[in-house]
Amino acid sequence: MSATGSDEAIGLRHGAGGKQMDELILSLTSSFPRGKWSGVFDDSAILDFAGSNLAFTSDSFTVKPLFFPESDIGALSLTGTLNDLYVCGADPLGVSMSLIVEEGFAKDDLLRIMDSAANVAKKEGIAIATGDTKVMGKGDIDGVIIATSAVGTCEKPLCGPVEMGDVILASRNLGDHEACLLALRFGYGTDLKSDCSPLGSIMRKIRERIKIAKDPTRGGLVSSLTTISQTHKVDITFCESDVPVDVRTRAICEMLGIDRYVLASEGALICVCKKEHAEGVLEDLRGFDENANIIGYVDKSSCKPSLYARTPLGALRRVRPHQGTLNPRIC
Amino acid sequence: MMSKSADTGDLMKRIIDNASVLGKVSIMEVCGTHTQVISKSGIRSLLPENVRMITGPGCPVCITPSYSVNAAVKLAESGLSVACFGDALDLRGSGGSLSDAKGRGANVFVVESPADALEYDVFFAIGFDTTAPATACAIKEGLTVVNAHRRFIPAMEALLDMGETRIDGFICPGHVAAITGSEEFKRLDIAQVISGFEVFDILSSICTLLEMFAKDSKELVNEYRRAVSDKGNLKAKNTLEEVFAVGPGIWRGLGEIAGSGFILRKKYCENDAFISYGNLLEDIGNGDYNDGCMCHMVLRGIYEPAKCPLYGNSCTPCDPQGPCMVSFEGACNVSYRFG
Repeated sequence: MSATGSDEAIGLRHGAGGKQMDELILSLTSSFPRGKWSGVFDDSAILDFAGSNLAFTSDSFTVKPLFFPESDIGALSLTGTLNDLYVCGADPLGVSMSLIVEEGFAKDDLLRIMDSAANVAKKEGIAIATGDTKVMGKGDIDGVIIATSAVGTCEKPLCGPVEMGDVILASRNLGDHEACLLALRFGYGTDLKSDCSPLGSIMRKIRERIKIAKDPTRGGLVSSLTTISQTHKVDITFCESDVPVDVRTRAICEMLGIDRYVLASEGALICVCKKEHAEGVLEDLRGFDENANIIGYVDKSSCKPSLYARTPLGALRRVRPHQGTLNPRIC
Repeated sequence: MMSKSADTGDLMKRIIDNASVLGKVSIMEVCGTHTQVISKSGIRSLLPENVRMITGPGCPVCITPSYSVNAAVKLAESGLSVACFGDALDLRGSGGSLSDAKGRGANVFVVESPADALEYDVFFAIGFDTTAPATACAIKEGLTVVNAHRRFIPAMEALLDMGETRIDGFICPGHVAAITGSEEFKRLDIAQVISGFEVFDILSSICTLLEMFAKDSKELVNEYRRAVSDKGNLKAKNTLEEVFAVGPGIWRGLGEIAGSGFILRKKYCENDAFISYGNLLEDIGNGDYNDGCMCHMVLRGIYEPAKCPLYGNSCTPCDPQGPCMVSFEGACNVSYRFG
């Protein structure tokens, strides 16, 4: 325990998608009964049920501000939940959506949020099957919190194996969602938009040829690749010059002193495939977004799996999982 | 000075050629942004073995003394609203950090500029010559501060006077120089290059320093002319002069350095939290180090971060034991994240 005793309280860093969050989740859930569900620490859990694979996911959403360019917390909650199923290789069946609303919240804003969620569901052809609504006293929460869960079926769950020589691809520019929110919070004038969008059509196009997929939300690229590296016990190297990042996202990161590889995306995909499929998968990804690119490769099996970055100068540096919250720097 | 048309490959080749005629040399960078760029780009691993890059006290968060942090925390815990820069949030004094205070319910707010802090009771004002002018402007508008601003060039002089670690040349801080002007650095008797922040700028500065070492020259070269003039930013300097006097300043890790403090002038004494809230700050403690923490050695360039026994063990960016692990620009934090 530290001198301040602060270790005993939950801090914002425990929800920031880094190492502390992983450790907290592990300590909170170690006594949970797992039954026959597998993959419970990943985006979704899978159950072999009556001869088919049932995929189940749960998520919750808080975001500041609630409305951001071309999207809002309603669309974000549906998109994020569905994407957790899509990246497992699943086809969603239905979603539940629960609202916790602060007393005094404008009803029009709430309707707008629900419309956004409904629009995503309609476009994806998914039912919002059930839900719940609670109102809490003024100041007890901040605006709106949305909690969701979703079920789907999964012909072939994407779970590897990830092996030496496999290729890593990104489906589009990374980090635009979080960069857009940071710009809004700090009042930067930019036309950057959140990348919030469902990954269903992309996944259906490529899922037969890929081994594993991740949507790089909290903790960004670094968190997704670290998870793949640790789960499959392989060293992974990504080439910084090949990682697609919008010039505006890059500029926002440089102004705030934040590492662009840890920024969250809400409509991007990181996937791993065999080398012989890489060009074909890339071509398909570029059919959706021209910035898709091959960004790295799997080095080798390792009992101490690590993530590395090849810098534009050609040096190799170790990349550690993101820790702490993203606090902008002083100058 | 290097031509901009040379690419980084040419520069690396020239660095290797220049280093081949030299014995062991040490170059110190003294700006947190330089520290980040050097580690992130992997420059260190590409340099010849006889060229050592060391990190000095260039992170403003890292050198802010515990006493000032304690004051800001105490005011926040006394019910005042306290604003700070984002990377000062986790900086610990002997009584915890503003982040800890916030977790206990204190009114702590992150701002990006001192002007944004005007709506709060107190601003925790840290940073070098680069940041101090913005604080000075806000003080003129009525901002109350826990003032921990420091003048940087006296610290470079102090490091040379201490003589504890070999420094053959400095990569000088471009942001500080943009305010002070290049001429202020001339009083240092050592090879120096004022550098920008692109990888190319830093490689170019290293290359120029190695050329100077070969000629045994102790010049000042300004490679960052696109931002740094001889006289600096006169408007900022005039504002600093109006609000602050020059006096001694305490640096975490380096102790008291003459002429390194920005001291509020009498006219603005009511903007000093130690005066306007003096009754709340009578018994704030000091004490800069946790047991075993080697930040004081890291800040003076004597230890590399990995040599500290706490580094990567009990001290990580999520649970920093010393100030150099707190800020994104602290030597230990940068080393931990980028190797």
